[in-house]
Amino acid sequence: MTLETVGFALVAAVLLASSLAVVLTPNLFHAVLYLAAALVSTGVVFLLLDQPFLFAVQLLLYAGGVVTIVVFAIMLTERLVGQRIAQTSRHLVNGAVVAAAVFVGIVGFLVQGPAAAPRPAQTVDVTVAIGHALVGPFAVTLELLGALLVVALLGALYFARSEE
Amino acid sequence: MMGLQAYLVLAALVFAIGLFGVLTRRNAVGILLGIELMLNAVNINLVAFARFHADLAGLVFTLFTISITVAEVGVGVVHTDRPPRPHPVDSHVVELHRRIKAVFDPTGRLNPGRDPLAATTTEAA
Repeated sequence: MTLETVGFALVAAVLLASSLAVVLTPNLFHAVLYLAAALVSTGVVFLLLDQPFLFAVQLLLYAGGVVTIVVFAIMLTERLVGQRIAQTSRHLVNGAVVAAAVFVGIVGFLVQGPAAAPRPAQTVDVTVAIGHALVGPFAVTLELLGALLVVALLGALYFARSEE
Repeated sequence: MMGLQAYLVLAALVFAIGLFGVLTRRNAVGILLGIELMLNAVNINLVAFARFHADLAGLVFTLFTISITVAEVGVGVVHTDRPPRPHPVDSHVVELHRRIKAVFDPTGRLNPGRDPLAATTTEAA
């Protein structure tokens, strides 16, 4: 049992527990808070994989941005509706069967695959390498992403506009 | 040392949980949260493969999926309390579309007995 194994087991337990809470809790607001926990523990998984830069991005964009947006949406909607939004789930058994089937399928595929190679040593500074890649081989993709974000911004503005 | 497969199994579990949420939740925000979990699982996969294969592409694509997800949440959340209404269309435009359909489908074989354009038509002002 190395320190990394213990850390992985802990993070995996937190991630799975909070993910289950996201899909099972009846209170939508609690679900968003559990999602924040799941996103932060995913960031810790990134740390275990030696990616501190992605950990920072995960915290800033996901845990910071997404959770804030959704919390705002729920609070505003609840004020508009005037009652607490509870959500009841339906077809729990059917959903569980389909999800379990997908999981068994993926794991069956993993088991058939060749044993994974051991983790290579980290040689370069990944943050610097990502920066070079974003303006080098992935520059066009980065520009396309910028265009997509502008389109999303315009779309959100279009739907959020007041009625004349 | 943890192997690659431990990370992949963890990601598969999170993906399955997210799928369960998408299938069973009844309102748009709940489904959106399930989709978040599924995308998160994909990110774990991308980073794990990138780390174990010493390949930068997975990391860059993780950055891209995170950004796209944030945009998707922004647009999706706007839609949750205000679904898009059918846009009123000028009747001349509808007539033009009917004539195009008549050219390609003179016998009315496509969408028989229905007029999907009728719901959106308004008389020209």
